[in-house]
Amino acid sequence: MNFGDIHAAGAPILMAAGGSIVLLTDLASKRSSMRKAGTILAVLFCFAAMICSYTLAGQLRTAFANGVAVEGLVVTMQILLGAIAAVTMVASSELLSVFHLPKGEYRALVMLASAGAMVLVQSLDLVNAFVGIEIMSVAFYVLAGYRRSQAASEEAGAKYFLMGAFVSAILLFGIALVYGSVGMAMKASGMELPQGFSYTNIVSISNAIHQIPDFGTNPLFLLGTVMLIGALLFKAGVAPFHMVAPDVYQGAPAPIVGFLATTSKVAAFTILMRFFTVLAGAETGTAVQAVVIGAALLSILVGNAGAANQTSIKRLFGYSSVAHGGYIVLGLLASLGANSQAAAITAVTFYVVAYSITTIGSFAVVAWLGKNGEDADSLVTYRGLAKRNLGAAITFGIFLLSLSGIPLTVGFLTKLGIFMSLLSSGGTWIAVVALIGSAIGLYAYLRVISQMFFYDAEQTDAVTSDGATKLVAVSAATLVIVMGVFPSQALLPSFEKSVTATPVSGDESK
Amino acid sequence: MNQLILVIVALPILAAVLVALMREQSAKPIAILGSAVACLVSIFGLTTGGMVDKGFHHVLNAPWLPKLGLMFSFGLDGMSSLLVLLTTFLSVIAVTVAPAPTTATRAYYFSILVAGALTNVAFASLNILLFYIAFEAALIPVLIAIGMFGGADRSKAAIQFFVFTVIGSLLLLSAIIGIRIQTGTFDYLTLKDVVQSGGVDASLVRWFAIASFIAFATKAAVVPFHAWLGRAYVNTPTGMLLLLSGAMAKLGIYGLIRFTLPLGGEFAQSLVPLIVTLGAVSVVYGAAVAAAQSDIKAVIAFSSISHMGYIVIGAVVGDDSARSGSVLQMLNHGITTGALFICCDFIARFRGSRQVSSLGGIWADSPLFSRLLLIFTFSSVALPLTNGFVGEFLILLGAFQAFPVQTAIAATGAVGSAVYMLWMIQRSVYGAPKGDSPKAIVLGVSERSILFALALMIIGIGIAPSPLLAIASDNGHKASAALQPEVK
Repeated sequence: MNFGDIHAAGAPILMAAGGSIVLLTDLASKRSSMRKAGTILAVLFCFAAMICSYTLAGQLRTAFANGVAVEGLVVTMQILLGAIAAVTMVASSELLSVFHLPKGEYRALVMLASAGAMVLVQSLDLVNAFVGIEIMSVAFYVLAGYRRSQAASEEAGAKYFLMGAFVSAILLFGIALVYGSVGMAMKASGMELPQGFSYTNIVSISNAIHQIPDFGTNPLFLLGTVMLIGALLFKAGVAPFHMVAPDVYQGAPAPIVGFLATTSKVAAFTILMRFFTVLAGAETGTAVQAVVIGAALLSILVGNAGAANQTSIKRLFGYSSVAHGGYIVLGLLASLGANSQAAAITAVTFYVVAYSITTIGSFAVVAWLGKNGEDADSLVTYRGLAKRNLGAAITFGIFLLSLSGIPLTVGFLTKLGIFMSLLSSGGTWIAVVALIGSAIGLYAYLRVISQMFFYDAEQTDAVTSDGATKLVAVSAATLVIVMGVFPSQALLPSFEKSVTATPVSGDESK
Repeated sequence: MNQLILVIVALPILAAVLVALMREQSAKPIAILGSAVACLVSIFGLTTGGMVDKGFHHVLNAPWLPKLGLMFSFGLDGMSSLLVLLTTFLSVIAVTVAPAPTTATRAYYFSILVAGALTNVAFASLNILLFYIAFEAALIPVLIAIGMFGGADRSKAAIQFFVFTVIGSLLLLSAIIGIRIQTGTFDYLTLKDVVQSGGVDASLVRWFAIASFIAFATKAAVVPFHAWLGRAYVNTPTGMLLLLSGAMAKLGIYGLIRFTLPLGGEFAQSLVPLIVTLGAVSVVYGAAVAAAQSDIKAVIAFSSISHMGYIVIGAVVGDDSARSGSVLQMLNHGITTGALFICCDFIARFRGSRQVSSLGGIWADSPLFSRLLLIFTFSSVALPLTNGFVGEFLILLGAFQAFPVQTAIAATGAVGSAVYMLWMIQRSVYGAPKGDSPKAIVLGVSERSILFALALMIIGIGIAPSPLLAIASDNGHKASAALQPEVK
């Protein structure tokens, strides 16, 4: 371990350190003015982590005995994760103060979850990935049930924990199977483990798949891979592992849901992308493809159909997140193709960033429109919103149009990217099913738009809210439009520079 | 002046932004000013700048997202020039004559201005992705206008309209992406060459033909893709309805002529008999349904299906004069139907009802209005010396040689339209007034002058259609006629 290692893993280290410091200063300070400074301190740590990650842009660097690899994709995702954490803490202030929830612990949990997600996105070794997932998930369980006084929140936390712990075990078992099968196959074929790599390292797995004949169809390895992918898909909230998502979305407070939904997707999809690029072109890839197609199409259909008749906005977003997870998986599918990886990675990255912005913004609106800290969850509370608060209605409308993929919002470009990478890897009928799903989803989002704009208000009380959630929502909506019209000006150049799309291979990492 | 189309599009957008920022009271003047200037610019720019030349003029190429292949590529030929003129003209009428809602006036004018601008982007675009974006984005202002300011059934009408048209356009999108992946371009003129030289897989060309036909047929409300139309038209506020029925529905026909036939290859040609049949069915079906309506707005709405049926036949039949007639008829239908919807609106405002059964006596107490309405009705039933006659005659004449049966069926629709329109007029305009105290329909100065202008256009085109026909004949098909197998 040297300074280079620490620099490479700087972002999660800073987040974890920041989380601990915020927790300790909160304990030490009794005065409330000091406590307010806690948010600022925590946000500063997030910025530090983002800057630290940015200094690594444009390089490929491994660290900690090849357990960690940082390249453009990781830099982009870590910056996104840092931003999500910072925005979440800013947007949660009302929630925390109205219900007298402990603030220091909250900030620490958000930052630790984010640190775990950052570890996950940069891990090259599956064991590291597991550690990252656990750090992230344990914080998530607590956050989902953070409003202990409310039964729904408690239920969300408990459900999420039970399912999550179960899935973690599956993930671990999958990793063990991969470890065993790679090790046995390498020993049997007399192949050397690359210097400084372990059997659970993605590079070793890649070597085994591409160099040992018939290893790609080794049943133990296949089983392990499928368990691994399944567990990661659960973390990303993709069908058929989506059952808990709507409950968590409905039960947990809105700012927390925004955080959980985005951070878990960013983390899980990044590591899946990394894993898939290894499988590309191998026999395992073909086998995995079937599983992935199934999961993606099921998500798109179940998610959009589930959203279609919801009367709870947060539940609607729960199902919508399942559907959008499905689209992202479709994008990942193209990364299993040997020559469509670069396009697929760009498309998925753009999708994940855009989805995160839209989701954070949407839940900020849900919190913004709420009264006395309660979320505006019921569809009825949105009735006639345009007549009461036109700004909020337009903001939310922009998010809904973006989620349905209408042009001039970022949602259209992300959809375009996914379909382009999908059709270029030859999945015509998949694209058709996805289109059908989109049409159902369109109806779901339109229902909300129609409630907001096309009806007269039943309740006439003005909407009051603190400035922070409003600021988050409006700036996210602005970003959705700006990125939808001029993505190259807003964000795309930073991707183009940083997403190197380097397939991690043994030669380059050594 | 290559930036002409940018000016035509930017003016209403600018006006829309101003409308959003200024007070409610200043919304209408700004909207009128913006759309009127855009209309004047398009009239002067297009008539002086090569509209009568063949091929594309006012060509502009500027990058938007070059990585995606998305460019601001604009170019106008005779057909698109006419349609751009129509759209800017209808925008002016929409913001001037049609009554604004009492609340959220700004949102109303904003949506009309933006809808007109996006429709023009679609008509002028030579980049197929840009066309698609404008084609679909233009739905949002219509959705808002129907949903916020529409009739009693507005929410359902808005959602139905939106979902139907978006499903069609999603299919189109998949085909466009497929073509882009194979050819590496969204540029229309390049694509046309590539497709016609056989550079794209036959299966993809087939998919493009089917998908784009469904998208455009839904937009133009060709039977059996018409299900959204009735509820949508009846519930759309009059101002937006002028644009929706007059200009945006034409995007469907325009798409068939511009994209489906040239880029759909021989498969699209083999679809022609089917499309012509559907057109003929639309003519008869629209007439039959219109005859059964008791709401005058619904009569005109369903008559649209019938008229669009003719236009579809003329557009695809492969005969040059029929196609020119079809392009001219798009213009005519925009003018005539727009005028009729405005009259409908006047009747509803002054008489308090649109039901045929509770109207009557308008001829006696509102002579000017009734005579104007009669001219519009004559145009709708395609009486000689009105514009409708020229268009329908050319279409039927051109189509008859290739498709005698379908043409004969469609021609009966002409009789049908005379029946239902005149019957409606007879019952609602003539006779004794009904109701307690029917108010005479009084036209203001601007309303009177616009209705006069529309009537003059109807008779003018009816008497001397040849200048417009010369322009309409420049629709991108003559030049490439040698490459295309003529339908025998």
